[in-house]
Amino acid sequence: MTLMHRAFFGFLLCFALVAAPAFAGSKGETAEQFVESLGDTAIAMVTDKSLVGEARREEFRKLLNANFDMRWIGQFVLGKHWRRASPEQRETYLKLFEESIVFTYTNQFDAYSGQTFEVTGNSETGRYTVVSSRIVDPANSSSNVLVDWRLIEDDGTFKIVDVVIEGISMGITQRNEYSAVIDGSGGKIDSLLVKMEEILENLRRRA
Amino acid sequence: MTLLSRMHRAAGVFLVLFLLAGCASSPEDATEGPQVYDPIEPVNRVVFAMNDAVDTIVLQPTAFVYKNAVPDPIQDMVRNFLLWLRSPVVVANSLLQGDTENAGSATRQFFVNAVTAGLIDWGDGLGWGYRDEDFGQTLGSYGVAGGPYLVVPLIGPSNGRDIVGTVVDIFFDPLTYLVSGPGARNAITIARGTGEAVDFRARNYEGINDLKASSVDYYARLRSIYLQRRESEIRNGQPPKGVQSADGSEEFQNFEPSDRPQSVTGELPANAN
Repeated sequence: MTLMHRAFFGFLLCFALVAAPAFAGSKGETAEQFVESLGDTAIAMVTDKSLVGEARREEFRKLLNANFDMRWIGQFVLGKHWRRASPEQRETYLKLFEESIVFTYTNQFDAYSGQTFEVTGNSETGRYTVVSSRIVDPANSSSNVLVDWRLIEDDGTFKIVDVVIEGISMGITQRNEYSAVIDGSGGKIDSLLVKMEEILENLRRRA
Repeated sequence: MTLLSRMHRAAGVFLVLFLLAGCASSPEDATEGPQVYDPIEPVNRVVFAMNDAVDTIVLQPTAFVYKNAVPDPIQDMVRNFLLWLRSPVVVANSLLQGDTENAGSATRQFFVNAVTAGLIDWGDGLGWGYRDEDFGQTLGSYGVAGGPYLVVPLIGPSNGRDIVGTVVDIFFDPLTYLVSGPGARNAITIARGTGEAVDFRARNYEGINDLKASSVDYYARLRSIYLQRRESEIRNGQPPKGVQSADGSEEFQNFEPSDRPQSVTGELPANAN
């Protein structure tokens, strides 16, 4: 290694050390803004009374795919069984997974009663940026709901990979539930898909 | 049989369960739901199904009537009263955890609300709130693990640690000493338990129905929710220290999506696809 090289790498190292903390701070802030604007969009969608039925679900589906890494989440939730699943099973599963989320959440839109959403901070845990937020019910100030958003960053864009409500991770809960179904049927992935189809049918009826 | 001798017997049963928990190995795959430890799952599922039937046949209709027929201010009073009855237990456990601030808030609330027999919460909206604390959380804060997951008849999800906690909390409750005679004591325990169940079910009426309707395995879903929620309550909602925690952070740290060879968030594992 020439002196020139060494100097260059030394310089690069110094630059990295100086730049890293500054970058980390702005990364957290960018993540906060990302969650903040998602919250605003979601409340606007929920309060839009003209948006009903399939149109509402389509809007929600778009919002979901633009802000959440659905493929990532789907894989995480299926856990160790993802590797064993055939390409067809994976596609069916991901589709059912997305649709159950769409129906579960859009069915609850009408329960909204003026809650507001505020971002309260961010932190780095390993590979993830976690943005903390609070859902405030104006009718009952003591019943704030704390929500954490776990984000990954890919090529400068953020995607949500988990939502943690009052310490309960949606990803972990689904993962535990799905693996209980698969393990309970002797490891058959298809038995989960059949169950998911049934539940989705129920949710469609409630819509 | 008196309540105390029944408690002794219960304590004996749980001691056995604890010993079993100690002997048994840790849950199957450390990366797949580290905190789910359910050695008597078949028994739990039977009890769970019975509880669920009670919910559908008795609790849910009662909560529905309560929610719709009883005026909201009365419902608030019932809730305030139940919380007020619990506050001495919160004070005791906060002190055991060294949390004098929470103990202070709960004590203030207890005395101020005592003026109106606990029916009105005078601190509402004044930022006087306190966290609920019980002996299960106290044990947890001293590092006692949850032990086996258990579904208790009529009471619902619990685990070894939290059942011990529930029994110990009876001794922290002044009512236990104020009421004489096992008959009256049992009547109060039942009335209070019923009140708490109806109040909880009524406040979460739609939420619980939606949870049930969207579950592929309601038992497994509630188990996961219970265990995560208790972990979070023990930490008072604070994030766990380090990533080596049972709250699932570790599961996220370990997770590598198999279709992301280019991603900075996960490398392609050797056995991908």
